[in-house]
Amino acid sequence: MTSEQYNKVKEIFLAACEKPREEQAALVTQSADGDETVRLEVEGLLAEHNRGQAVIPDEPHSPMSSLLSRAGIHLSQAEQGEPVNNPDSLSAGGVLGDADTGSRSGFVDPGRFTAGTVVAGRYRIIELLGRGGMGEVYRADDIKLDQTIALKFLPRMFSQDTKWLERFHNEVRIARQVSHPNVCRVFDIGEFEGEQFISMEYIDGENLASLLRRIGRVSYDKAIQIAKQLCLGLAAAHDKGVLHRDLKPANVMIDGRGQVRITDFGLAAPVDQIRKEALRAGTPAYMSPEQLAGKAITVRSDVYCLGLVLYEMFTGKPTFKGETLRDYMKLHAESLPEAPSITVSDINPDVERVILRCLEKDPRNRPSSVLAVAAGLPGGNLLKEIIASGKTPSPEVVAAAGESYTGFRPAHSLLFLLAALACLVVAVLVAPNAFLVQQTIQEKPPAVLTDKARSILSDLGYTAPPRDWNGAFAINAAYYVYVQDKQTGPDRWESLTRPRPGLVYFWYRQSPELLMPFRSEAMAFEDDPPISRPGMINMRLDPLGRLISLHVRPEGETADIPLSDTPVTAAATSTQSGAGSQPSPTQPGPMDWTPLFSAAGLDPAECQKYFTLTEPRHLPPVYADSRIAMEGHFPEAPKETVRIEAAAYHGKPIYFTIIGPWRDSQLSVEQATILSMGTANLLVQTVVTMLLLLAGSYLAWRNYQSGRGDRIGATRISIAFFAFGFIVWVLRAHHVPDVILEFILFSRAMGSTLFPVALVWIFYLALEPYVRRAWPETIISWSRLISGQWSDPLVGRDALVGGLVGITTVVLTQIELLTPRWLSQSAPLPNVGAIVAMLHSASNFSTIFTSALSALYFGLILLLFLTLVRIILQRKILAAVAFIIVFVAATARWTPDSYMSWLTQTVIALLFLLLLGRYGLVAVIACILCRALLVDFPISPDFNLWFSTSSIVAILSVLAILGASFYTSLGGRPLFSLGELESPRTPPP
Amino acid sequence: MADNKEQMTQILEQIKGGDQKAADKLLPLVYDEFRALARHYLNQERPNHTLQPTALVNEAYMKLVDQTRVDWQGRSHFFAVAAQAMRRILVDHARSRQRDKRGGGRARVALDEAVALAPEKDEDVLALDEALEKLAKLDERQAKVVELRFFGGLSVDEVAEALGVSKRTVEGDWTFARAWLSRELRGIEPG
Repeated sequence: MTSEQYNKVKEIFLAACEKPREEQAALVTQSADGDETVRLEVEGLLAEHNRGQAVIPDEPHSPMSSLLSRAGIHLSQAEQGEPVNNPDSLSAGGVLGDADTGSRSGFVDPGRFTAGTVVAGRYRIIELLGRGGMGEVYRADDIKLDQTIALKFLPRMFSQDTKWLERFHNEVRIARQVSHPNVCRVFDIGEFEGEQFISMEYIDGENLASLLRRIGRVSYDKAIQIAKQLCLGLAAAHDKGVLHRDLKPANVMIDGRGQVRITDFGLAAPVDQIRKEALRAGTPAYMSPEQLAGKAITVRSDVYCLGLVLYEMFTGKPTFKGETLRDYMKLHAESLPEAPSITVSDINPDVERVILRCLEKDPRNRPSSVLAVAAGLPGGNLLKEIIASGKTPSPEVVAAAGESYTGFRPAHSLLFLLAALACLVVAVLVAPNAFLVQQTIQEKPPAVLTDKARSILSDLGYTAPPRDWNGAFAINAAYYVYVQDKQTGPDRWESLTRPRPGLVYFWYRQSPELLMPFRSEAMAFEDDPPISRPGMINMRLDPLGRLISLHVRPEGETADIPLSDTPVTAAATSTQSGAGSQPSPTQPGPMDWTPLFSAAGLDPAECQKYFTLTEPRHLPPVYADSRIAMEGHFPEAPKETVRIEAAAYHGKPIYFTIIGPWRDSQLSVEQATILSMGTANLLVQTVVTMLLLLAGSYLAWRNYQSGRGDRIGATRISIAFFAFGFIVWVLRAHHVPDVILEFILFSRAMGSTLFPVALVWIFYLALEPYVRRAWPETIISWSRLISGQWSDPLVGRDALVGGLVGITTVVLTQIELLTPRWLSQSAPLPNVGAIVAMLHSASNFSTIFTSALSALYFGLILLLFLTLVRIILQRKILAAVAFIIVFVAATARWTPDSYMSWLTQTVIALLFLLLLGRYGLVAVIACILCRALLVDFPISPDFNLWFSTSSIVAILSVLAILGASFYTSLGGRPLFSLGELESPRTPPP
Repeated sequence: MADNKEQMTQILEQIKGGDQKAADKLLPLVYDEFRALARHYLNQERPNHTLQPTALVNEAYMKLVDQTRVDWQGRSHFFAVAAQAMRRILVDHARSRQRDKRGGGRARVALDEAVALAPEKDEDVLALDEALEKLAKLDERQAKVVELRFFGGLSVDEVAEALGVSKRTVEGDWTFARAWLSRELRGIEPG
């Protein structure tokens, strides 16, 4: 060929390249102009050109690299022992899409398939990207979907092995379910000309091995980013039960946008079964000790490999340098890796710690999950990243959430502690004025009232010692409702606090048999068991020990009473004479009512002055042979007309009651609570409860199935609930000195204790994962707490703030109760439940445990409810408004004069929101607990009162909570140090 | 090294000043530097470390040239020489190994300080070298384009700058050379 011909060939060739293929032939023939040599030459070159760039790649950058790296430098042949192949040239997946990848073989090696080959009628091969121990990888076009994908053809030796194929299919089946931005997706598998292939995502980028070769080591920030993405990708696969088994830098792709993609998930697994091949094909430099020893591979094996990758990424050096397989087996099994800080002196100590933990020889000493690894890495917000990737973080990760969640600075802690103490002092000083119980029951303790009751009974002729007895303070709920509805003005408070007619009374009952309550709650009951046995006596005294009511079920036989002799109404002319107008045949003397009325504090003179005799109207509950009735009012309550009725049998009083204008003296506390609440509160609470119950059971079931629920956490909380409930039962319930009967009581109590425990377990399982996903910042310290990290500074900080807010809400409530009275307006009435709780705790500080229970319970409810509202309403502001509305609707009083209540509850709702959003669940629980202790106990600064023990116990408990959380929040840091004062502590970069 | 650097920079300035002979002085310097770098890596780094030619060339450039004094064109010239050096190293090495094999069987393959080539690829390197020589006889510039692109990792723009031709010419040369070499290496000679 002459030089002239050559020039012509080149000219025609280049011109033809510009044309579409179908026009090329015509152009060439025309341009060649009869010169056959030229025509044939051009056609040959065009054919070569059109078949793709299989021989010499048209890469814009570093085409030579393929040649060099293809050549691959290794020392193996120069050394003795088993040869170790170049890990990078053997990696199957780490070669996708970049000329710089180690095993790119674009030069002179077209691979099994040439460019343009259509595989399985669907994929057109574009080029060979690489080859390795696991086969060849091609870039290909998916003709059907018009997308670039990667095809990996597996080594022929495996394609024949049906057992291996089966395993391989299994693995791909699972790997296909892994969908995560940091995992290279596997699409499908197929067969072409007897060769097995996988189609997968094509990644246009560079693998980490090549990146490290190119730039030595990755910059700190970039390395942290890559490390976190690696963890997230691995976690997604581990979630589906897929282990990587062959993680190494060459299997980590980094695309143009810096996004990390892990390739070759689980593909090593089938190979792994054929150990020899595995070791030859795999890379002993990146294998865990257990893998090299042929032992079982777990998540923690991947953690080890992750550690190797991180080590290399941060230091630019491989963890171990060996040359033969035997070297590596020894190194991985025995050698301690050199500390990364030796190579990179300024490496963040947290990073170093995490890497070295991953590289522990014993799998049990490594982090239990890749997310735990990620959580241990500094910087960024792992939680946010996990949530952004659409996953639910595990409780472990929440607990370990980054360094940004640590406690206060000591000075802040101290500030909060002092503020809390100041509020506490105010709350304690104001309590006796603000709360009703302190003013009501301070005269006589239950023991004195019990003794008083017995002496009254003995005065009345009931001298037989009882087998069993019980007594406690309680409230006349009907009277409460009466005052609430009928009385207004600033003095209504006095109507409740005065002893008689008053809100609080003391009941005492005794029985010739053991009192076996039918209800199983841990309480003593006035009406359970009912007065069914002869000899049972129930009575009520006012707080000063005066008789309010008496019910006796008389003992003895009634056979001697003629049926015709119905008891004659005794309208006594004078209580002094105590005589019935018509003495009964069986009642020789006139009935002497004097001791009875004296027991009620009504001496004859007073009776005559304030009361007039009248016709008895109320039938006594048991048979009586003489009755008496009076109407009038007590000297201390001139406005309230009351009616006193009494009855006697065989000369002994068996019935005494004071009936006021209030509806029914037997109204139960539950009924009264409902009455005092109003329909709206009740409706809101019922609807909310019902919805939660339905949704909760369904979700719990689903979360249990999917393993998303925090079973360990749920169980721990349930155990706490059970333990507290049991302690309360032991301390508070009525026990009997009879093993069998006590066992029956115990079984019933177990029932009523276990039911709420089960509910808690279900609801925690149902809803906690949503919180963890939607709002995990709220349960960081909580997760730490229930995983046993009691002394975590963050737990302390949250509890301290919570305690402060809790005490603040008590002060708020006190202001709410006191302000109208200061303004001489109609005084708001305290909550019935609160009064009952306080009466209980006055004589029994098991209330500490009920307070703890309700704090746990309401804390969880608040959090779960608010999270649900947030999920449903999407917007934070909307959710906050909805929360406040529901909170106020459910807790504020619904009477027209209750503006203060509305105001206070709104402020408290806001405080709860703030607390939950800023400090989380632990803070809310601490808040409710401190509040409950100060509101459920009759707090008083007067330590001489009989209930001051309870008061002191409550105050000390609050102080203990504050002190412990303050101490914990310091986290061992000195309260004052010079450096602390000079410059604010900044976390290491 | 400091002397080298000064010398190298001066040479590049001379090339820019039009002294074409200066380029010949450059080659041995670059060649030695590659070998030194490779030896350094083999001693320092892990055994399985594959040298990245681009990285190697870049590193040699950093070490050999005072970048504050050499501009973009100077850089292109340097890389042009580096590509030549790299090609020579690879080919020399492949030859010596082929000789070793013929001479003493497997035994111990001499470990070149620059690159230890995979044995099965020696033929490829030599074949490409041969084909390039052949192409150079037909069209010198075209072969140079391939050398720069393929062994030096230069972009089309850089090649155009180094050879002092238009970008379009380089593109044409590159396309044609690729087709020509492909056919050559496949051994499909037209009748």
